[in-house]
Amino acid sequence: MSIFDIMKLITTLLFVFICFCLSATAQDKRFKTALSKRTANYDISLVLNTELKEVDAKQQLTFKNPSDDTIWSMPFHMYYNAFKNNKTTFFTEASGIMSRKSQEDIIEGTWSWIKIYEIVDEAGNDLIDSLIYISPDDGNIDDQTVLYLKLKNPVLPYQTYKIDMKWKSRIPKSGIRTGYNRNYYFMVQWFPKLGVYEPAGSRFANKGQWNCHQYHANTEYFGEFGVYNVEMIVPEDYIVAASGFLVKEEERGSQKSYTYLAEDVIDFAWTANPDFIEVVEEWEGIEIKLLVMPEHECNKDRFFKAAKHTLSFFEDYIEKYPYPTLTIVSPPYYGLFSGAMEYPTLFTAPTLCIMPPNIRTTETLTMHELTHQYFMQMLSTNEQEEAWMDEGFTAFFEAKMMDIYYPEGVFFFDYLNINLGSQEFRRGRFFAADNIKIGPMSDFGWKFRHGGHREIVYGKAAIMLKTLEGLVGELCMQDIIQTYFQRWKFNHPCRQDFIDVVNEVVPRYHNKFGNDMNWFLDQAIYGTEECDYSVKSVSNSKLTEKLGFFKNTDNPVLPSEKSAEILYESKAVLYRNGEFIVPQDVKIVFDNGDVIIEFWDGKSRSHDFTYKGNRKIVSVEIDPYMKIPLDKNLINNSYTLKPDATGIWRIFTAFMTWIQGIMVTMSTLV
Amino acid sequence: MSIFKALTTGFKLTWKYKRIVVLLYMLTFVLSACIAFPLKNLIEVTVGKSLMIKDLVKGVDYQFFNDFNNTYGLGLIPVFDQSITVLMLFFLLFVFFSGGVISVFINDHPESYKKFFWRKGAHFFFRFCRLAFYFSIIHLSLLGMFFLVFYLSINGEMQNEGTISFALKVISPFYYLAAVLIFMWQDYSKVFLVKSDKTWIFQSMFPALKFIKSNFLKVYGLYLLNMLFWFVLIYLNFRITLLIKFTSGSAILLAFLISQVFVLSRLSLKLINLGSVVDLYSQK
Ligand SMILES: [Zn+2]
Repeated sequence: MSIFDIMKLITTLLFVFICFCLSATAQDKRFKTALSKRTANYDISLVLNTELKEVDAKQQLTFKNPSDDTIWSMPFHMYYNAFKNNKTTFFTEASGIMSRKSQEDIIEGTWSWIKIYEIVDEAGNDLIDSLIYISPDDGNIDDQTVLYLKLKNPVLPYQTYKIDMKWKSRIPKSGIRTGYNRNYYFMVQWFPKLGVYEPAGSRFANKGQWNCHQYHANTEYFGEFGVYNVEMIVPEDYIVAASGFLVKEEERGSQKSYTYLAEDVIDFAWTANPDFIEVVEEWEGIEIKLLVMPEHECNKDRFFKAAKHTLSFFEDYIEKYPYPTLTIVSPPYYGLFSGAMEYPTLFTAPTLCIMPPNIRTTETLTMHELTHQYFMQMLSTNEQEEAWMDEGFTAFFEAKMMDIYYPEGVFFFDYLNINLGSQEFRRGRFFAADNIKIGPMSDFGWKFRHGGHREIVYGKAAIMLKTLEGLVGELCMQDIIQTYFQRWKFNHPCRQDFIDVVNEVVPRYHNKFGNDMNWFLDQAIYGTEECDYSVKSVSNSKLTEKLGFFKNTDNPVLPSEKSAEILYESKAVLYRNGEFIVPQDVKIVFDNGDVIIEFWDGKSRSHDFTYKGNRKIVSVEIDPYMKIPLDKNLINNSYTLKPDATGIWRIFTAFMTWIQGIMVTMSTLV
Repeated sequence: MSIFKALTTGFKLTWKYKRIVVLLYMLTFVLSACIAFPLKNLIEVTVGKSLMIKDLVKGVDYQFFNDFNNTYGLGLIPVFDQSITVLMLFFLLFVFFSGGVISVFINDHPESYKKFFWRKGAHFFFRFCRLAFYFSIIHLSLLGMFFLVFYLSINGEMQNEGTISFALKVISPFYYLAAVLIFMWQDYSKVFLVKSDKTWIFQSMFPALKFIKSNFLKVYGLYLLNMLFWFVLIYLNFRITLLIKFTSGSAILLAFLISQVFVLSRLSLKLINLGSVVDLYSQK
């Protein structure tokens, strides 16, 4: 064997080894046992035409009937049709969206769409004439975001059924959440996606039914678990990332094909852009990939650090993130339409290098969007009908984690000691909303026609969960979340399923709340009332002795001469100002140093705690351990007879100094 | 070394007429207290008995401010309205005093300056008002011009948002240098106005411009130096405030006293600047 032969052999072996490794890695990433029922599975092959801004695709859907019903129809989400005309439900609901569409596009008639041009069932029946657009939510005839397919052969109970189709779409320019701008493509809600079949008894279904809503301005998607095998053919210089993991990469002349496999997920998102930089790190066997623009690379460590904190938190709190990959897409500034959005194993989180490190939006967004992998990817609640069940839970955990890992706050500044914590910021934004009573959390997203959707489903829900945690305790809350997760992961829970878990777990820890927590949850989920308790007054009046004529006395009782010690009747009067009822701890501090924690069921409109003795009440505080952030005004929760005005002097002097500063600055203009 | 001579003269004049600085300082003190007291009362009356008040010693308590604003925020509106009125009043008073200060500096008669100060303040008041108005327009035009340059430099298909910060970094020093030029022109116009006592503002503005042109290096150098002092003072004030740990009433008092020293220093600097401008003018 010559040296060349040996070299050749080594090269060949090396090549074989690398190929083996590559295929082994791809193989390794597949789940050995399915995590979900894999009801809706997709094989898609698509070509992205960056000149025409179009996608041309071949798609095979394999549907497994999850019920004992015989199913005669299938609805599909056709969400790019939301951008088809200016009278779609999306456009009519979203005020201000039209201003995002360029005048040039309007004049040239450039609108986006998606259409199926070939569709056959597994028996070879051509179904193209069996398609009609329906508008189940609002009957809008100009809305074509739900396509209804009447089958020629039904899907039999628990049977598998295949549908093949070819479709084409025109990608929206800077649409909301999805679309393209320049050469950045963010592709979500991009393919004909089957609705969710809800067998009788699941969620709110009394009988087997499809759940497939139109595309609304406030809401996005709900999907069935399955496996996505997607081949994306794009111009060769484009960098692609997608849900799941890469299984094949192939040069095809001036194009390149990427095949991604995503298992046990409810949706599939992908992105393409020639300018992305790809940075990969690993955390406990999970490949974390960051696609970031060169001008934002400076913040890459902020993303990874926050992502690892989140993964680590949930590993301890619930269970380990099960997917082999996690992709963070940080869009260019002209791709901000793709905002901060969550998709299975992939999410977007914008960042700016000009943003100083004491503003932690990069971290907040990363933690928030990654938390969605648990709340609505794995626990697949219906975002359109019950957005609070993902946004509220996510906001609750985002704030919790931010306060743990970034104790300086989401915004901090040494001057005036500003340390804005995530929880207080979330609460503050909710209570600063125009109308915190605008609608119940349980309303569908599009029912919030006059605003307030975000405030309620993020803010109110997160604060409600924080209050629940305050009431039942952190351990019990963790037990609730764990039980809820273990029972419903890779499934579609609804609010009642969560309520059932709360009512099952809480009595194991407490007997003070009664048989269930419905008294609290009903008010919070179905109600719109606000919670506000206050201390009205504190008084200590001297107890007077009996003087004058009484029964059985002929002579009036006169003041006694002995100098008895002075006794007081000390009273704290509390008010319930809001309609929301929640039990309260009340801390009462006396002048001799005694501290009493009282319990008030919080039901009556007013209540008092009265004491007789030689001690006087100094201060009273409702909810001293800050268990109830749902209380709208925390300032009136306490009352002291010995106010310390130093804090007010601090404001006074600071304000005065600022005004003087403005005056001196103004003097330069004279 | 006429720049340093001018500066020293500025110092000397300001020291000589330190009562004017004290007067101006007292004016800022009294007027700002007039606005701060209603705010203090509002807080005391609405939430003064709350235990949350003591957390305010440390600084900003977001939860407090948010809940306060949601519940008692309407009470802040008159306080802010009043602030604007008081600031306008201060502006007019400062216009009045500027005429007095420059007249006193030019004539430099320590024995009889008080009468002179008030009389000349009144004498030049309306002309100084007009001058301030014209220069506000000039300042706004300059700002508009630089904004236009900034806008044009980032307009079109911007590669990334870094362009914005780059443009800002490049443009703002030029803006700063140009704005200083206008401030300087304004100060020399005032001196010319007092000296020549002409009815038309332009009769002072143009000679001032001519004077600046023929002594450019000297007057601009002096002005930049003065501006540098100004920034140093602000920066020092900020750094020193950061050093204080706010835990008690005495810390608050200390911080307040320090801030008052800086207010006084900045007002003195304003007068030193005017004094040195007067000196450079007299050297011509
Ligand atoms: Zn979210």
